[in-house]
Amino acid sequence: MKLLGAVGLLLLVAWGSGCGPSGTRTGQGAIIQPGERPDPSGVEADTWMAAEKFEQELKTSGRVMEDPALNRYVHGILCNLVPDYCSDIRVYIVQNPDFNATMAPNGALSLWTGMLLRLDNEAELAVVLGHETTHYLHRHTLQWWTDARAKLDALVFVQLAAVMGGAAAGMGRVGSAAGQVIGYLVQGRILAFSRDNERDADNTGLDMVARAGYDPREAAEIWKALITERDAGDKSRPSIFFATHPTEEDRIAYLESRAQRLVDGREGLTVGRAPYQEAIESWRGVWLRDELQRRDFKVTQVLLRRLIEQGSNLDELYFFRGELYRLRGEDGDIDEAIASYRKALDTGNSLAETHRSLGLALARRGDRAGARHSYENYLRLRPDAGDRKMIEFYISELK
Amino acid sequence: MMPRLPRAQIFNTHRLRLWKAPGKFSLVLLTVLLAAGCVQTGSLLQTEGLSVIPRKTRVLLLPTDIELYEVTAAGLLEPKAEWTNLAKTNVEEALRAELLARDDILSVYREPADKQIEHLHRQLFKLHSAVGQAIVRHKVLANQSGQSFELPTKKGRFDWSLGSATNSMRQDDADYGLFVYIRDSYTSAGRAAVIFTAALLQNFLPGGRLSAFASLVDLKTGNIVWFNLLNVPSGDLRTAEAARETMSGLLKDLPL
Amino acid sequence: MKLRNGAGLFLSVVILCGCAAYKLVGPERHEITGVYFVEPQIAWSARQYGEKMEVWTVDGLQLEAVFFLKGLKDGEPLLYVKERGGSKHPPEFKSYMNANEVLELFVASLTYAGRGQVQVKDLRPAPFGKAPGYRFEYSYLTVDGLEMEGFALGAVLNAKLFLIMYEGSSQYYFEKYRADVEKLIASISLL
Repeated sequence: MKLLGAVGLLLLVAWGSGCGPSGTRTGQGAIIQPGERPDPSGVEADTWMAAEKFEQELKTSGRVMEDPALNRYVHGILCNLVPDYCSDIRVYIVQNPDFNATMAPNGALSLWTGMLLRLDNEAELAVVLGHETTHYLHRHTLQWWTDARAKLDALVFVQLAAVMGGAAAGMGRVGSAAGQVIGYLVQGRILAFSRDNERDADNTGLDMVARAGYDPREAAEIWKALITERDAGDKSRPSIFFATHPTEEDRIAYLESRAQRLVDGREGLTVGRAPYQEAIESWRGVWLRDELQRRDFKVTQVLLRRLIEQGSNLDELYFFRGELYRLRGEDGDIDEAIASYRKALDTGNSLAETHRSLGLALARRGDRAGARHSYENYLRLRPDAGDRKMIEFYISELK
Repeated sequence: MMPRLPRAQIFNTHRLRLWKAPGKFSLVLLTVLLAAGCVQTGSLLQTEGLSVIPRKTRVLLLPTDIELYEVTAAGLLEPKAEWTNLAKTNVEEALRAELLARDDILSVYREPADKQIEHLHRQLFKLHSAVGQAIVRHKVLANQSGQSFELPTKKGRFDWSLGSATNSMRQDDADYGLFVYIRDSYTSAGRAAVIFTAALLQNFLPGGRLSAFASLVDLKTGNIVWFNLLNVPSGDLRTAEAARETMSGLLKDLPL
Repeated sequence: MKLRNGAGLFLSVVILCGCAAYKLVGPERHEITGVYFVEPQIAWSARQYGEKMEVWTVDGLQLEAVFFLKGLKDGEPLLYVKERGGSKHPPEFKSYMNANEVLELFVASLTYAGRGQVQVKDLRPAPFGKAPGYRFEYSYLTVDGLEMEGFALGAVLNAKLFLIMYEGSSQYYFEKYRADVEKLIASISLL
């Protein structure tokens, strides 16, 4: 069985765990009302209970980010979108570098940090939240979970059960569950997502986004960025996301046209780049470090290129670009690393760790004086460095 | 319905007294269940002196660590949250019923209000699952696959522990805790035929099997004083009836 | 077999023979791969995994274990993971690596193998017998969320990486033999 992480997907997107098999009906039953709970004797009640247990597992998985400011910000966007359901939907931010978001039938929504890292602005976040919320409101999720439970003896299971189950069992499992599912896909056993449900979630989600005053044209941008990353990645490993969602060209096209109609000459729609970047600023470094740990260097390169183009906190981005090259260590990479670290330092703003990494790179290049100088800078800027004694040892060896 | 062996085929008991080694605990292997032609074993380990548990001992029932999987045609295991949640409800009800039927005082675990203690308890539950797997791997099923995984450091000993942090679990002054671990997997129909021709256990989790173990832990010391493994073709734990039957089998020789 | 915890990290080479996987190592002086001796302090159950890895335990690898990495060469990965398709490779040791870089290799390897929330701290010079080496403490979560902690002692001798890692569950098992393993690593004598 594949070990976790070893199978890290390029992009695992299960936008809407309610993206179920083609047997799921759209618009069946009324839209979920604010504060609605299922009839305790009905079939839906069991599903709700299962979802409550899933949420419990999620809460205790140790991978949920607790930072109050970040949680407040994200939940705030949700409440802008659907003020009536503000208290019905709980948002969990899960520390996992893959791009994903899931919605459980009882209103437990999870956003993975790999996704938050990749979104650019508030409008894009609103698009994701709107899409997920629609799956919840239109009972796609509830229907799908209920159907799945009714089909307990069925031969084929929707891969999202595995993903959800993996998520519920302690997020770290998702890698291996997803990896197994890819195996499934390759054997052609997986049912495609219901195009109807996906289309419904996109459309209603966009309407929600526009109504709340966000710019719906940002939806297509999310997809374009994902595709660029996907194209850079490992072709031999199929992406679960792209194998199960409607083709990207179609999706981008209809998202763009629907967005245009919704915008219809309106002015002053919020994109909200600055508040979004500010909200994630203190965590982006951690998420970039997690991203690098995936060791999918081509994909990370594409991501960094895009982020650098957008220009927020360049010192951090140049630092991580340097780290990418240093860790990859192919021909010519060490020089690229040195150049990136120097660019980071040129901003005048960079972390002490940039000096340490520059020192490591220069040492590898044979520049002993340069390396020593960098290590000394690091220790001066980071007096409480955990590896102080080790760096002092290097300095003494380089004299 | 999932394939299931009739109970009559299961029991073929031998009472064996294996080693007796000096030291705090000695191993007395009470029962080895063999069934010719069946791919299952259940076996029991307990420490000496256990037979003197007094009546009306207070036993704490801890939350079950359970997961259900589907075995795909490719032999991969997919965890199924839906099934797991359903089975967990059935199993915990069955366990409560089993303990209530015995002459002891049952206490059902309640989550402590203190977050730190709650975290400690969760770690102890997970530790139990790891310890149980070690016991199975190195003791109960150590000689299954043509190679022995017995630990020389455990020769003639049955002395695994969770450590005395279990003292923090003595809810209602419970003396013993019962921990249960279940992994159950179901096959799609295409694989069912393969199951019955499969060789003896190669892996801890082959397709279409229930692996369940239970430990009785002395909460004062954390020492595991009684352990049983049930390793049988799957009953359907998603049904209350199968859950009752399986738990009954698991706890049959519980010295309470 | 579903591989768990530290056991799963380094081990995928299964020796198929009709013999005992674990042999007894007594407290008397013991040679590790012709490069150094240690004094084991207590009795251990020892198992070989290929030529490069030896693991000692008392209660079971998922509970506590001492790993001896015996001379990893340039370009070899810390992990021995069988890749099933895909082009991602486990991170490799390079002989130019200093302590910080070996630490990065260690973290990358554990993360690659699915250990969660890998944390390392207090990297510092430490003797490997009479040779200059380094040491760090670490912790991680297993796939099941069990907290594990450990420490590692390493050195590059003749361009090859030697590591000794001791880890155990934060609850109970790590502490159980910690003092013994500290004495063990203090007893290293290079041949």
